Amino acid sequence: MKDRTVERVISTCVDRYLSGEWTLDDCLARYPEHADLVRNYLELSDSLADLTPPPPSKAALSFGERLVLGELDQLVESRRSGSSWRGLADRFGRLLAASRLATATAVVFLALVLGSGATLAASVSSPSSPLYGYKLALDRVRIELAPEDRKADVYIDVAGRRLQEMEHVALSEGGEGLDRISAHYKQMLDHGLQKLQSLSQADAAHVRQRFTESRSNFHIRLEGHRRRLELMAPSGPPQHREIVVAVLKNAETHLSRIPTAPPAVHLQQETTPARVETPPRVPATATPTATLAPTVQPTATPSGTATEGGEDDSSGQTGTTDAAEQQTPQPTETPAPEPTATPAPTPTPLPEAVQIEGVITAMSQSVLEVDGRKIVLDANVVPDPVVLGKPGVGVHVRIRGIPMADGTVVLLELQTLPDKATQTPSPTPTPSQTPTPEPSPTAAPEPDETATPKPEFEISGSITAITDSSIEVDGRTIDIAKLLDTGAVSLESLEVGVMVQVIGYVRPGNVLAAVSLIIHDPETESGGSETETTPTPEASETSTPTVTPPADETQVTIEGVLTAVSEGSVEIDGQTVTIILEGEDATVVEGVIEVGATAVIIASPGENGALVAVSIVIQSGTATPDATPTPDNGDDGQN
Amino acid sequence: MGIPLPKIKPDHDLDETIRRASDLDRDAFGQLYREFAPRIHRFIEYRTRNRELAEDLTNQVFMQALRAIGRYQHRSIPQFTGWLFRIARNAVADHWRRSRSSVSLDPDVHMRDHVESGDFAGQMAQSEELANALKQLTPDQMEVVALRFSQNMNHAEIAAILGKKETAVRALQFRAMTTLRAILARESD
Repeated sequence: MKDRTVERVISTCVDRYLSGEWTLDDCLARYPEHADLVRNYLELSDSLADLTPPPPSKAALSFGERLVLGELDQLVESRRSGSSWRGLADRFGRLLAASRLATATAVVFLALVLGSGATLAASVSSPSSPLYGYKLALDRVRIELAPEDRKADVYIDVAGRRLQEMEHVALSEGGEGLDRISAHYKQMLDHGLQKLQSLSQADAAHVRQRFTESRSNFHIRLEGHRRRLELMAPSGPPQHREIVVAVLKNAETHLSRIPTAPPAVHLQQETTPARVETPPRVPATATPTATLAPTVQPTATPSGTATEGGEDDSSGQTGTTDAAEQQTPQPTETPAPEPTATPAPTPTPLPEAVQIEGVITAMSQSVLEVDGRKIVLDANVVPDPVVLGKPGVGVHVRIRGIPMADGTVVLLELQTLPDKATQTPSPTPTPSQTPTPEPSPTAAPEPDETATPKPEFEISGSITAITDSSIEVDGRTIDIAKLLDTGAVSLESLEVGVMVQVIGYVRPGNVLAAVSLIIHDPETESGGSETETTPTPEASETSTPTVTPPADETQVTIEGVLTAVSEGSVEIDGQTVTIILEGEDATVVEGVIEVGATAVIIASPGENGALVAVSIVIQSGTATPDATPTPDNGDDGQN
Repeated sequence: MGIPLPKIKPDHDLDETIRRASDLDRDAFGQLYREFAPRIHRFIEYRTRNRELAEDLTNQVFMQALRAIGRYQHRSIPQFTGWLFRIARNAVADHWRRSRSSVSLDPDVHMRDHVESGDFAGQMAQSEELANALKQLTPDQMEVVALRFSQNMNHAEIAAILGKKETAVRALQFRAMTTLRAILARESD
């Protein structure tokens, strides 16, 4: 009861204080018995308000406004012309990525380009378009204008543009120029990686900070590229697949070559050290070295093989060069450290990285236990560990890390491996100095008849043919039998020439199977209406769960463990999501909903602001408690 | 107290602007951007402690709003504000989720990088402590704090955005502040 009274007093004071109705003295006068508490909470209120950041710069706002309005223009234009939504979605991604650039540069750049009225047209042009050369020229300008320590970001950004073009061209039968685009894509990756490697060897703290950011950005984006290429590889006309597979391998090679963050032990050598909150941990083993090279060299392949070709350096680079690239020895000349007033770094004893492969037996937010060995996250030693896949208790992983004096290993890199239940784990650390090229678990998947289907395509375009159970869009035959069976789509609603957006997965045998179909009617679209059809729960293939990617930009995907389940809602990742049990908008459910199950939920904001599930796919059964720490926000404040 | 933030008052012109923006009127949408982008940016930066990221996500919010506004049925400015902020909180949540799954096991590690690389790095130690303490709040508590203190929204406005009752928002605010006090007290010991 007393707590309730205190809560009421504090809440009242804070609310009145924030609204300006009461001053601190007013509060103290009203509640003298709680004077200390009141003062404390109001001071905290002030501090919290003081954390409010300053408003964004005018340049940033101006840039953002141009970006958004440019997209609005395209949206309006595409509705007029009935062009594909896919292209629009691609441009969204590209433009958002572009906003990472230095704002001032971007404002100048966009002002020039938007002023010419040709930018966005150029952004969607293909190599066969007369504007394509213009587009490449603009990309070169962007690269030139970018600060040296941001160039890696721009290179990966431009590579992303090339990837979008590849997606467009690779899926179309008559698409031309894939060779040229893929060569340019690889060139951008090469240059970006080179810039990263230069940054990784810099001494200055601010450059190292840039390196950490750029490395993270580069890694995230390239990992995204790899996934997209994996989806692309089995699709498209045969003559394109070889090229795509080669590019995929190239992306994987580059992923393995991303330089590791320099350990924080070097920061101690700096005149202006980066802020370190706690003393660095002491490495267990010490291998003298006279360089500032990253602690752990990339294990699989030598680095630094980027070619310094010009824009025309595209001849014949269709992927057959990759094997050669992987064998290219590391350049003996490393970029000289930039001149600095700071004292030359003393050779620092560096530990050798170890590689551990095994099963995670325990996991918390900062510690993993892999077959009895403690793997820790320590930002002072490794500020940005790489995690590929989703680690959890029972998951087989390969770990590289730095051994510490206390027996723990600081995580450098974690990669989940396919389930190896029958394989004996090898918990013994092995020095990674003798790298053993291993088949990457992220390599292009062979068609697997038993594989669980995943969302693998999104195609927009006009219907060019219709049969009793399929449609043809952009030259691709898509099985819509499931949608027809459930009544989600009727043949009467489809006709040749109608614009549709189809999302689905690739079934064994490379059959495209639709799980969602949206009909875009130009007449009704101007009013914002559209027909979206998704299969009903009854029709879902419960034995082969599928995940429908968000078709609406306002939708969110939540992946996690269900921590509470009630009749009309579930709680996942700390969020309550409403389930619609019946009716046209009924939530699509695949699998058994139960507390502890791992689920992927696609949800959209409802009328009252609550998240409403569009689909729930249970990915696995009940997880062990260790693997699923319950978030501390279960029903906080609900009662 | 923080930087004063003008509240958006009921305005028939703004209502009309929102309606025109729903029809993809260029001028109207631009006006909405200028009106709301600073607030959305503050909310996101308050939560992420990263100015550059906030710029990106703010633009992403408006891109998403642009695509969804055709389906938005306008009734009032608070309703529109809530709609926009819901997109914003989803954008932030989506960002953290992606960051968690692809970069770091520990959101704190990623957050720490953001704190260190953001414009807050130079602020006084006390603010840093508080900013770090904020990371230990639950997502719901953090959202309430961000909306309450960076936007000066009242409980009713926050409740509309979060889809909760006002009493729940009030309780979340109290628990958040109590948690923060405890963390700060612990760290000062």
